[in-house]
Amino acid sequence: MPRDAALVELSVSLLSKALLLASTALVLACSSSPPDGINQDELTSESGSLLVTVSSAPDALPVRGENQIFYLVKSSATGAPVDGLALSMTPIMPAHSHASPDVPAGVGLGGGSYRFDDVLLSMPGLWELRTTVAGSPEDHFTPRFEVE
Amino acid sequence: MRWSPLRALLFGALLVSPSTALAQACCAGVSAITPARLELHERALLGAELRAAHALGNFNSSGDFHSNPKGASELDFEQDVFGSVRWLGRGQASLLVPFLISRRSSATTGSELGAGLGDLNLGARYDLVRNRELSYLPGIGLLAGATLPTGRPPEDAKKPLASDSTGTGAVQVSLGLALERSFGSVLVTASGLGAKRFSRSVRGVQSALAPQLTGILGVGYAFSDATAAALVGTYTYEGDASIDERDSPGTARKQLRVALAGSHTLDDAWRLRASVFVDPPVSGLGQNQPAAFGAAIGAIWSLL
Repeated sequence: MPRDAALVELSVSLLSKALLLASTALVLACSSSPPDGINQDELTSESGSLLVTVSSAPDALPVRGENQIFYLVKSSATGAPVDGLALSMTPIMPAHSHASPDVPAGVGLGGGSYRFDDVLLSMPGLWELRTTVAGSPEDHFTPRFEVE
Repeated sequence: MRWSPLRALLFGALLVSPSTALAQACCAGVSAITPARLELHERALLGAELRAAHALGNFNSSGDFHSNPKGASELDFEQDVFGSVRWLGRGQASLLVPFLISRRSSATTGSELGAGLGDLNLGARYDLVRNRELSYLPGIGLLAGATLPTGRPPEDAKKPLASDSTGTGAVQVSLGLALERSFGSVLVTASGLGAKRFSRSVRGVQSALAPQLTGILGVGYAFSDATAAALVGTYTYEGDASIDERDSPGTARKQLRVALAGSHTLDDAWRLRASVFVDPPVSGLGQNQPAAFGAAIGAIWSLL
């Protein structure tokens, strides 16, 4: 019957719109932008005096397992490479409240470059490479990476 | 071992399973939902459960799910031995001892196998109101638990992927409330738990996880006095962790686990239990957590 058909059509239309609205709301609810500072390859030290560029091997972003981490350190004021820093690194996984089994050793390569071998990121997830610059006063910078 | 709420949940689950009465068909659902809660007529029990889980991937800090990259995998086995004893008529105290085995691989380190004793779990439950004891109230149980860091935390692991880490390194205490009500052959349970994890020093960094909230909803159906099945959903949430007493953004965690379990009573002393579970690998349902699927089988011996 025409009246019933119109009601069915209206119902289907309303149901479709409701489903579309619900699915949109679900997608929006399930989506969130990544927190600031994750997977950034450039950062400034806590004191603001050092500008650090981060890279890794074997992949551009740190991977589960063994990595090499490279820092290129420059003066924020002059842009000149900074050599002779004593850097130490503690990789931690803050969301799981634990650290890497090993404390990697840093080596100065010259030209403001430093390399950390054997950076073990044992599990997938968010890792922080908490790095200390020895001196008086100490300085710190902490690259954060999502490891898959 | 990756810090996961599963251990705490497991032990919470030991305490929140519905109590049973011998003559009620619905009460066969007890072991279908959780393994180690004493039934009304039992004074003590001992049990063992073997669980295997395969990691599907990981939820990142934004809640997006990513499957394992090429060359990476994780397969976990857990063997639990647990016991419960009754006290003061309505109370019960429990202990769970886990032993963990993990096989992990990555593209850069290859495969490795690790094992060891996990974190001990202690628990207590007191039933203020038993199921169907009062017509106008559901069964109400008070829950308390503690996790002791007897396992090896990941930073003390000897293997590159920390497959031999078996604990969190932190003390955890929890409190909760469990509600239950049977309707004929159907048993409905709802429980909430709050857990406080104490801070600890990790390689000179003071690290503390936020309080964790857990909700468990279970629906069981008894096919007979001896056989039952149950569907159980568990959701956990915690806020951002703090590092050196400062909040660390993007470190909140959440996880949904869905389990289908069945139990069968062999005689007055023995019952068997089996379950399958999955953490749905759907973006938005988890955060900073792995997702896995797996199965468990167990046997329980009770003392009347």
